Amino acid sequence: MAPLHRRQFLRGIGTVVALPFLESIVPTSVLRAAGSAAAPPLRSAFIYMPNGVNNDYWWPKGNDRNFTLASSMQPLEPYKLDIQIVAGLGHTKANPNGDGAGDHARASASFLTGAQAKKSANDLRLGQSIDQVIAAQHGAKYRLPSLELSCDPPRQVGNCDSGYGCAYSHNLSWRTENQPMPAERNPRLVFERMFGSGEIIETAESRAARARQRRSILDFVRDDARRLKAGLSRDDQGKLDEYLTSVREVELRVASFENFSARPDQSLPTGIPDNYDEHIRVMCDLLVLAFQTKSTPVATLLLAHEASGRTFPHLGITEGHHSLSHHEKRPEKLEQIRKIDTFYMEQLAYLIGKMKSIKEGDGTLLDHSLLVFGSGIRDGDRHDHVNLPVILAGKARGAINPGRFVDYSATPMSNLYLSMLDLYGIQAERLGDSSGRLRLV
Amino acid sequence: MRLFGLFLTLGLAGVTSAAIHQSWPDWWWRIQKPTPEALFVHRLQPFVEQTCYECHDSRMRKGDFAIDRLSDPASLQRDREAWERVLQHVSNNLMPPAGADQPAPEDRAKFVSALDRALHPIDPKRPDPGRVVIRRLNREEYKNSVQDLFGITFDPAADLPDDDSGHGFDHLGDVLSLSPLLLERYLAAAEKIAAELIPDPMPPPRIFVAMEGQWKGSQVGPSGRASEGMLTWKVTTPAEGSYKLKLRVYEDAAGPEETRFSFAIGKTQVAGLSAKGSRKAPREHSYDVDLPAGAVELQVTFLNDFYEKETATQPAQDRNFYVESVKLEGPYLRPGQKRPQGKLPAWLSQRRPEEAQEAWLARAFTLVMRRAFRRSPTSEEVTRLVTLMIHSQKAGDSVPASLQLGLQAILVSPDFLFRGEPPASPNSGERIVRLSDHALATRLAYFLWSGPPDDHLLSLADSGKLRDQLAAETRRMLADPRAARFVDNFAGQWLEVRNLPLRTPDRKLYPDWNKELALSMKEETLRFFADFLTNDRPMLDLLTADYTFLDARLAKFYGVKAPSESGFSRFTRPEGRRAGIFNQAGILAVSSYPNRTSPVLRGKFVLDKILGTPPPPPPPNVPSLTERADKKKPTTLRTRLETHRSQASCMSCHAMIDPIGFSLESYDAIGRYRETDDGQPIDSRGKLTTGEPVSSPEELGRVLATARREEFYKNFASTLLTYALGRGLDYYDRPTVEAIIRQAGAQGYTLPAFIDAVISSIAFQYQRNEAPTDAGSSHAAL
Repeated sequence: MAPLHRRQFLRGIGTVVALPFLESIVPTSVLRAAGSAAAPPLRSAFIYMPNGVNNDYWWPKGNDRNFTLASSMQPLEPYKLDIQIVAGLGHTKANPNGDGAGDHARASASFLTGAQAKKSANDLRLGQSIDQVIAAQHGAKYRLPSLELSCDPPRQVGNCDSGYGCAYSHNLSWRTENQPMPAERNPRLVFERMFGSGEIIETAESRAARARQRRSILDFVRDDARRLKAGLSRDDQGKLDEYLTSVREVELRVASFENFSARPDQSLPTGIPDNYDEHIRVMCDLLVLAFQTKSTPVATLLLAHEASGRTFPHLGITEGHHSLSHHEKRPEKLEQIRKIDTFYMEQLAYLIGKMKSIKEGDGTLLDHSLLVFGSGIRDGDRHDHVNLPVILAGKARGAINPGRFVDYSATPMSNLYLSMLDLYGIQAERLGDSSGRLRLV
Repeated sequence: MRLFGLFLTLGLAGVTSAAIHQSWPDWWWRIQKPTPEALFVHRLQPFVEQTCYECHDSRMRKGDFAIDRLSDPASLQRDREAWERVLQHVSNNLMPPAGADQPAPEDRAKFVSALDRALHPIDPKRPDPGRVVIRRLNREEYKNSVQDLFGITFDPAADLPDDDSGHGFDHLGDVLSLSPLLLERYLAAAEKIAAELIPDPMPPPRIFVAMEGQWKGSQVGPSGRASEGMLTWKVTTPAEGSYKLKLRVYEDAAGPEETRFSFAIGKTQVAGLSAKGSRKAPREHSYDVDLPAGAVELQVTFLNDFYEKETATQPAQDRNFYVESVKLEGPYLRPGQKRPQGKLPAWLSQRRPEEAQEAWLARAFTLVMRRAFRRSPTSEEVTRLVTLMIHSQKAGDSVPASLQLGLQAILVSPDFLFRGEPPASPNSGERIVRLSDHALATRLAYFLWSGPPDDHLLSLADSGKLRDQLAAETRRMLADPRAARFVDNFAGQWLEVRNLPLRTPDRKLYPDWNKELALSMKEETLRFFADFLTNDRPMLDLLTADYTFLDARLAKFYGVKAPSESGFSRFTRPEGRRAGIFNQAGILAVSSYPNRTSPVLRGKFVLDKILGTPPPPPPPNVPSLTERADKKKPTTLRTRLETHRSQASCMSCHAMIDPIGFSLESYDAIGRYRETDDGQPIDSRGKLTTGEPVSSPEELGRVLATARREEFYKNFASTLLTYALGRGLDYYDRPTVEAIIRQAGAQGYTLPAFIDAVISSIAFQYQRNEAPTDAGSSHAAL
């Protein structure tokens, strides 16, 4: 009798301790197949927290390389040299610009688009988001052109924000000016989307048969849609175009699925964890897995929708986040916001740590990635959109020098995006309200 | 809704307050004497020149907006959207901006009224039914459609992403988009549904993997491990046949013998195997085994454990045996085994003797397509589907697999996923056209059942008799159990009680709150609403009813005797608690914060959801509640709100909002009756801007049901119409809403009367006759 050598295999990943599970179920063969040869590609993730921050405890003291982290960012202390704290970026298109109330809807809508949301409950118009620009250009080379994740609870009914459709405050990613990309919040479905499902695995033969069947269905319904479309008015045709575009993209996916035959032997047997922090961490694990396996060039993660009224009972916070964010400068409310900010920083620290722990080429996954964390509102009590709380993490393959506190003073956040597109080799003249490029440091 | 919001803001702008509360005056649309051109010249242009040009002429272009492009009457049509924005900004007092010269309130009001008339000309002789954009099924409708079509309760909808919503409902065509992710999910759902409906007795081979947690044995490790004992794995095979069993094993060699093991599965028993293999390079043992369908157990036994303690001369000798993984691949046909024939589902017509396969498939699937597409398929459509299935067989798929494929194609087809509405006579040249009978049947079914039309409805549509029997058909549909979905989806969203299970009140303050209680609260409101349907109740009872429906849990919560021991029963409320929904915990809870009540939220809920006069959003740069004069004086929420209200910029709205909320203050944030709050007695006195005192839910309900009944009806008719059509209402719907109220009024304003009136309205029965555009328009993405 000898003791068990291997790490105990934990049941499910619904518990914090079980999180290393994800690594263990992806056989090294998959990880090997995904990488190695060429230089690792750039991968970026955009992570959104709603309702602004407590600015008194957010901004570091000092400047450039000589700074100390403020209280809310303490969880990032171990990663101080892996992050760049950015001041001075803003979104003017989140301002009313004559449209009155609705700063929350505009904050999340403009965050990745730099565009002014059309004020309407049903006539959505915004702009393409940066992740979708990247996906459109590079997505075809990956299992998934882009990955949209959310840790928000199921949608509540009711109107969202002062006459803006709910789509604006619940979707970061917009494929076109009027088509949001819905985010997935169920970890199991995210995993299945990347690697297929279940403890029952298709044989190569069955998989080929299913790909053939799917292709024949897609052919069939495309013809249907084209015929249907011919007799329709313009608005209706727009809806059918969405359908046809989706058919086309799923066809590419079916084809690429055959190419990406390497896949884990086992599936992820879990749904949505009950606890918020576990949910966030599982989603972070999946994000890391997607990047590690080079399954996607870009991802978005909505921690909670803009104006979310989430409570944080485990932090002793029972008032909704949004309501708290209207703190009226009251110390007890500001203190609770600081706690929430710190909580989100803990999650970010987890993600950074995880990416840093993964070796890739001659560095780490974090070295070849760029995380953009932020909120579209600076202070929830003022609903302002200048000098947004933004943190970059990772080296973006050497384009970013972390370990700094940088102030770009009154620059459109979209300029950052335009510079990021450069890093992806995408020639773009502008994105949203960009006025130029940001000189990345 | 713009429809009503405009009147409210007009009131704020200084028109007599009566204008807020009256129905829109008749002259509003009946007297069209001043033409848009005349209005432009006499009312709009002078105001614009005087008020807007300073900043928005072609030179200044503040906010990148030059109003001189709106300098001729034709711009009302040409630049409609820009004018709408002008209307919105001027009527909401957003323009001219604070600090700039302001027009006199009456000039502003005249301008707003003139612009509204010029932009929104309504001709009652030429009613406009509007146009409903082609709608995809939302998650709920998808689930119901699958259930009603195939009789299976199956919820692939749980895997579909959230639907976006607008105007408070989640089934509006405009905001329901179709992303690649969603199409992928539709494909996967169709595969699951088809596999369940048309089981393949010999499904394609799969690999079954022994998962962690499924192993049983003396020692269970990462993927199973046997040491000095036996491991078992239970697996369910989908069919009888031949399977490939693959065991990956390795050993810690020790002692004089090889590591030996045996396994048994089904009737196969193999003993005396040598393990070999190392941790880094396990050895794979592969066997073909015959297995029956169903539960099968694999046993792997380690035969010769060996252990010797370390001695002076050698380390410990420990022989171990490990199973790294077990996979079972199959089923495959055994040599000579005949492919088993499965049973086809009852809804699929059986093949007749001697019938050619193509003929049978065409016959059987015509019926399926008719129900799924909510119309008869064309013969070309049927032929294409049959061809798809025949090709699939030729490519090597089994007959059940090919039928599954046909069914999948139907379920992913835009004809199933989208509700298109072809007009009855598109080429008539008429301005508006009636919906086809099938389109009408579909509208009816998704309105009242949130699901597809049944055979009865479709037959009526086939024979052209649906319109003749509309009233009877509506009765039949409302009496059907599927009408419960209308209650769930309409009332659950309108009154927001669908949110109750998602709410998270402070556990310390409200220890009684739990999910079961939340569900009971939701159920109370839904049962109460359903009663309007079954018992033909007048809608005003919503505000004043002296009864409700309780189960034991809620009765305990309310502190009353349960009306019955199990389930929900009707309960007559004691005096002083007779205010319809305003005494219902669910309504009071959804309009509260997690840790306290909010008179503002509750007031807004009533203004928005019940009266349809949502307060305009707060003006920019509102001074916050803390910037008050005396910071030392302790203040209650009420006094702080009162201070807030004393500021001119806040008063106009909060004078409307807060008193309504105060009248409900006797109920805490989870809707429980209270007499004190934090030791202070509750002060629930309130007074509407029109003077009526409202100091309790009962009084509020009574006042709304009398002084504000017109607004209530208007809002209810509009909300119901929005839900029925699946689109937001616009100015041209005003006459339709008026007609609905009139017609419902002639039948006592009951819920069924409102439903009938909506169904017979022009907006429900007709659509604009918009010519199909060229399919190669700029919209085409491919």
